[in-house]
Amino acid sequence: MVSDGGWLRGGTGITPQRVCDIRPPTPKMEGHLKVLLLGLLVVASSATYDSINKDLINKKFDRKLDISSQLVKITNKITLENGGSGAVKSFLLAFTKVEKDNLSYLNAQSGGTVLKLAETRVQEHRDLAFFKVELKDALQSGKTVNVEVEIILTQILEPYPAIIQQGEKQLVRYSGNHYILTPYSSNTQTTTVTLPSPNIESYSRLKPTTHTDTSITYGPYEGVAGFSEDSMNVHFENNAPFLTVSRLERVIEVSHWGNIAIEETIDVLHTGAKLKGPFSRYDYQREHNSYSSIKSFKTIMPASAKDVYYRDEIGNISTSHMRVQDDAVELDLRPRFPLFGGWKTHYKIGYNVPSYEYLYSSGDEYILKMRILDHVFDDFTVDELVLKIILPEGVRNIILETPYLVERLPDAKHFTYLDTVGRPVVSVTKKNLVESHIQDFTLHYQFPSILMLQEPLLVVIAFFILFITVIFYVRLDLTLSKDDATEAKMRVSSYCEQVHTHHDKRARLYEKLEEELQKLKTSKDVAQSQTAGFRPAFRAANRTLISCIL
Amino acid sequence: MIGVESMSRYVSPVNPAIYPHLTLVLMSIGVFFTAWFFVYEVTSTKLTRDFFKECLIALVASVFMGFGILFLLLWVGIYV
Repeated sequence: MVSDGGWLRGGTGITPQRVCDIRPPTPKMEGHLKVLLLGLLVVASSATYDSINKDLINKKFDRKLDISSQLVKITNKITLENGGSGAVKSFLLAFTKVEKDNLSYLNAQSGGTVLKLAETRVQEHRDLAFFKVELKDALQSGKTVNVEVEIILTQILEPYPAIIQQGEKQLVRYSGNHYILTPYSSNTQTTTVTLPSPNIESYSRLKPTTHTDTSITYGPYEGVAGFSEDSMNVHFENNAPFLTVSRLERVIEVSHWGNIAIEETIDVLHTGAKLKGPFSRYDYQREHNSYSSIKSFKTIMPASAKDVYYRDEIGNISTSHMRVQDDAVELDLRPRFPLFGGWKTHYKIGYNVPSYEYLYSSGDEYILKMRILDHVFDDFTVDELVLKIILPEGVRNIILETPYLVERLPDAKHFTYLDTVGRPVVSVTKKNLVESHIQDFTLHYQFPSILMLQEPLLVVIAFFILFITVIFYVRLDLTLSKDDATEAKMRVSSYCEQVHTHHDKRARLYEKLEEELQKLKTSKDVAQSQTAGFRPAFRAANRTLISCIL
Repeated sequence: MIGVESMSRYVSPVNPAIYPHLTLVLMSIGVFFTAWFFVYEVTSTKLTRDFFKECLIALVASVFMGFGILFLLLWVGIYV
């Protein structure tokens, strides 16, 4: 059970951004796999190679390297100039193999428009990975264009030392390149590294290098040739939570009775420096020196979330606080034990949202528009996401659209209360996700609303069968010998009952007759009273009674 | 295919706020008829039994119980 905390203001607003997937199409893409790619056209093919256009020059290349959390967030501001004579339509972004393997999110923008990205290869640089960025308009000779590239890398920061004791501070190392890896020569390059604290063990220098409080600036470097490399190392203190969601299973169950139930099963692993030696609860409680351990974290849920629960295999975890805010529900979760490096935990979070928030309809056509994944904690990273959407029984023609490429798993059936043929389940999976992947999917389907009556009718039929069984059962006569005495008794009681009902009937008729007579006395309309059809009934009742008694 | 823009937000055919009331009303009528059915079954003898009356009570009882149980499930949070 989640206790309701106070009403606190503020919090993290998540603005969904458009994203471009960096994965090439998998061979698993089959006919039924219908995935729409927004802002992206993956045309990667192994046969073609791109060449580097020597005419392009980075007039100015600014790189912002944010290593203050467990993620490496890179923002590149590129001023690209066309030094050649012909128009240029696209340019390349270069990545090392390590960066490419840990690349979670890549997005290129120019003047507010998201540019199309495609993975490609270059013959002369097979050890590097390239992405081709299609410019919105062709870059004419001598002209410049500003492009902003956003890159998020996961699992790049390396805890160093990799094993620490309880109470020790966590130091991490970032290894990179002083120069910005780009295929084109640059006139000016500047790199700004943002650190979480002023505590730096060491950092590599390449003149000019300036260090102020929590940032290091490399450059500006003038006239840098393409593919220049010079190893950069920053060894610094980082006690930000190094929490990785190793597996997140998100189940969305749609009910046409007005509810959407969401349940997330989450496996969390602390990927920071591992804990050496024993864990002392006493030290942990007494001295507040467990820097890298995680006591609690915050999950943000939709504002309409209700009936929230937080539990694991052994039941409810009582250490949580819920704060209802204007734009979100904030859940402060505290695992059963603090998390140290290498430790993991497993829990479930569930809540209900009303259907009108996410479900749209027009006749028998429905559209479900929900987030593929939701916020787990700030600067989270998800290794593997499995999204399952359970639809009502009888749903047909399911079409799924996602903002980025995901792998669609085979459809399954889910059986729960009052199901007959099973509910269709749509499941998708994707690896290596970050906060920027919080975006909406769209699921189209058809559902005849008459099928909603199926569930109550099942219960009605079940009850009716029960009653029919009873009716049948009381008629069963399994006695071997006829008992005359009981038979006679039964007959007598039956006659008595019949007499009783007829007597009641007659009494009612007499009452009515009296009323009629009263009426007749006042109105004196004899003809009308005779045609009232009352007498025959009276006579018939008398006759049955007499025949009964006889 | 129709877009989200041309669609309206989907609301349940029955307002979820009245699930408790519906449950109580339908279930009480259902329980009344069920009770009547069983009382009738045990008090009547094979000579006094009326098949059509039994069926009629059974039908009414099962319809009210069926819908009552459905709304009870919805009320307690089992969104079938």
